[in-house]
Order: sequence, then C-alpha cells, then structure tokens
Amino acid sequence: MSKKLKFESFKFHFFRCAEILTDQLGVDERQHYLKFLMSLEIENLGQKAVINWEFPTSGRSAFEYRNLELYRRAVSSSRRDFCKNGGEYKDVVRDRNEELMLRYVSQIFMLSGLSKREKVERRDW
Amino acid sequence: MFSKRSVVSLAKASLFKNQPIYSQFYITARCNLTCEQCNIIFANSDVAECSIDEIKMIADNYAELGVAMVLLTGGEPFARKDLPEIVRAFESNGVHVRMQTNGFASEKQIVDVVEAGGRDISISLDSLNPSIQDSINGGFSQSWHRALEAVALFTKHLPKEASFASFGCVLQPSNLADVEDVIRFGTAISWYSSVVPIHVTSQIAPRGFRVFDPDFGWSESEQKLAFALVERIRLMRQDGYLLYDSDQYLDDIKRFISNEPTTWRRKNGGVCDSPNLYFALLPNGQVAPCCDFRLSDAPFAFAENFPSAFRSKSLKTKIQDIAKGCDGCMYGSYPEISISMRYLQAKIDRFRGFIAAPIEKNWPWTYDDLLTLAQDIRANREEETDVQKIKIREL
Repeated sequence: MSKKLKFESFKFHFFRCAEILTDQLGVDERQHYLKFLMSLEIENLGQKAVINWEFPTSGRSAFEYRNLELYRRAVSSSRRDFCKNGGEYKDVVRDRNEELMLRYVSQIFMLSGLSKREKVERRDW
Repeated sequence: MFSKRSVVSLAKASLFKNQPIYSQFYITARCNLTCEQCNIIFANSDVAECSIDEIKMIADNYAELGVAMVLLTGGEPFARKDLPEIVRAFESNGVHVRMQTNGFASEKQIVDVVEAGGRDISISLDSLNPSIQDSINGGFSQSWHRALEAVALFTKHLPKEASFASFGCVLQPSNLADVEDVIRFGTAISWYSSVVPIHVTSQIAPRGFRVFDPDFGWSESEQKLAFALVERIRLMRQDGYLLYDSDQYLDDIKRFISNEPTTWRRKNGGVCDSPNLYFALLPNGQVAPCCDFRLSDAPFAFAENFPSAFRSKSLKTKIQDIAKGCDGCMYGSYPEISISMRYLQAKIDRFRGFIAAPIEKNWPWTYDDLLTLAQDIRANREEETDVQKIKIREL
C-alpha cells in the first residue's frame, strides 16, 4: 500500500523535533525519553495523526495535518516565503512548521508526564 | 560535458580537497511515487520551494564558487514545470546538470530538458520484474513500464556524444535477485548502473533519507546473499559490464550492510568531505551538509553574499561538527567523490573509464525493444539461478 504523504511527513518531523529536544537533556534523562519515543505508536486517522503512549501514564493525542504547511510550491512573483531579517533570509514556512511541531512534541512530553514545562529551542539536526 | 571552468575546479578539488565540485539540489519534495526506500519526500516537505528567479541566482552563485556539477533531484524533479528553465540556468553558467528521475516524464518534458542543455540522466530502476518494481515504488501499477518508456525517450532525444545515462539501483532484501539483471539491461543499452544499499534508521534517530521500517534491515542470511551479489557484480564490471561503482565503494557496501565501519572517509579523519567537496541544498535553497542532516541557520544559496557565506569558517565548522557525529552513509555520490579525489587507483579507473575510453552508444531504443530485451534478460537469468545458488553456498 502506498504511504500517505502528510502522515509520513508528520511522523518524520515529529521524531525529528523530538530528537532536537531530547539532545538537550542529560544522559540519564535522555535515555528515559528515548525509551518513551521508541514505544510510541502513531496511527493515521483521516486528517489526523493519533499518538498513543503507555508510560509514564497512558494517553493519546491527535494532531491535524492542516496545521502544517507541507509541500509549499514556489512563489514566482515575490519572496513572501523568504523574508529578510537583519540581513539574513528566513524561510517563513519552515520556521512556522518547525515551531509548531516543537511545541506539539513538547506538549506530548508534558501530557505523558515526562516533563513539567514546555521546552522549545531550534537546533541543527 | 564539463565546462573548462568545471575541469579546473575538478583539478583543484583533486589537488587540494577544498573546492566544492558537487551539489545535490532537492528542488522539490513533491513526488508522484512513494518508494519504500525513500524518506526524503517526507523530510523535505516542511520547507518552501525556491522560485525560478531564486534558482537563477543560485546558478550564478554556483558558478562563482566553482561548482562543477549539480544533481537536480527531489522528490521528482519533473514535478516542477519549470525544470527546463532550471536546467538552462545551471548549464548556461557552466555547471553540469544531472537529473535524477523516477521516469514519470512526458516526451515533451524530456525534449524540453534536453533542448535546455540537459545531457545527463539517472533513472531509478531496482528490478526488471515489473511487479517487484511497482511494489518498491509504493504500489503504483505501471510505474516500471513508465520508467521504461522514459528510458526509450531519453535514448531517442539525448545526443549520443557527450551525454551520460545511468540507472540508480537501491540494493535491498527484496531485489537481491534482480540487481544483476538491471546491470545487464543497462549495459545492453549503453547505460551505466550504480548501486546504493538501503538506509534504515529508528524513530529516535530520524535522518532525511533513511526509512524507519526495521523490516528493511538485513537478516544474516540476506547479508550473505548481498555479499555474494556484490562479488558477482564486481566480476561483471571487470568483464566489461557498465557498473559505475568503484572497488572500494563495493567493499564498503558490504561493510555498511553488516554494520561495520566503512573506509571511504578514512583519509579525512573519519568524516566525509562536506562541505569542502560537496554539499546539499534543500528545496528552499538552504545549504545542508547532506540529505540526512540540516543546519538551523544555514545560508540561502540565492543570497547575494552566498559565496562568501559558504566559504566562511563558521559554516564549515558547523557542517564538520555534524559530520563528525555521523556514523557514515553509502549514498553513492558522496562516497564516490571522496574516493575519486583521495585514492589514486580510483582516479586512474575513472579516467580510463570515462575519458580515455568512452562507450559508443547503441541508441535509440524503442519501448517495445526495451520490453523484449528486459524479458529476454529475465528469461536467461532463470537458467543461471542454479549456478548462482552454488556460488552463494560456496561463500
């Protein structure tokens, strides 16, 4: 069966952002998070990705794909996707997607009881 | 095929190992297939695509940097309607273009990219068995036949001289019995083949090109079959079959699939040569070390100051920090460029193969003739299977 583009994109970027956040943790704490991430099950339900976890407390959460802006085509007439900020270009679409996904992963960590506060910081990956 | 400036760049890279000669430009994440072994269409879905105006600026900047060759890949590059303009932008700046496609292109699209200066094509082909290929391609029926049609069209429209055509074949457990057929097929129609082993990762280490599915990993028995296959295709190359891959690269495929350290990065202290010899561009034009990794604040290649930003020590340090933490890949182009630039024997072999003795192409081929040829090769393979089995047992 062919893979679902938005679902697979969600999965990849969810785990990528999880890696960004867990890379900032100490060794022991990180191991705990990695065990959690390895155990996650993600289902594709309609226009949503549903994340299920069993520990530290069991739970589930759904994410609507439409919140992400994926496969953004070229804009020929202007550079509205690439704004200049302090002399440097920024990809507004990428930044928005990444910020949204980092926040979502951080919320999952809080909902599961792994963390008590939201941590969102962009890093290389 | 290469401009004079590109030849100078290649010579500088060979001497000093500090001249970017090759760039993979992921011009779109969009694709009309969802191949089992490809994750990049998901990994690059979150960024905006560059416009053609921005790509023209990228081409100017590549010329200034001395980039000799750009791989236009995706996603599916033909998903962009402005692909001919993109090809023209680079070729008119003396940057050689290779296009990597799944073969879903119309005759008009193919004619247009050739007229724009495109002389170098790589088509993904993992099997001569249509049902296996369709399955690998994500279950899209007729995708194998579409690829074959594209092959026929390229042999019709590419000039015989100063052009290059090849198959990119992903070595994976499901096509172990098919790779030799692809090489035989390619050789019969004057196309090279290159083999890349499938790359797998886990949910806690997502990488741009690597699939999460552990079923694509290698079992012990599959590893043995793959080792035997690598040795057989090495012999095929020695017998004159058009296999692009060097001996060292083939040896490293065996190490890679058995999770042993590869050797191609050894002469650079165990890290790859990004960004000194090669680098990647995301669909938004942002520099990346490769298809697997990204920088959060990398420069955009269409920016006016890109050449100086690219040469800056801070960018090199950031990319090399990432490269130092990487276990290594076998994605074909990066390893082969490092090997060609750093190992004398590989350099001599490349020179012999492409400059001293270029192949004479027996083009054009029709779709019907290609179909018959593929069927004949598969039919003959059946007779060889017993011999292959004995060879495998011997190993």
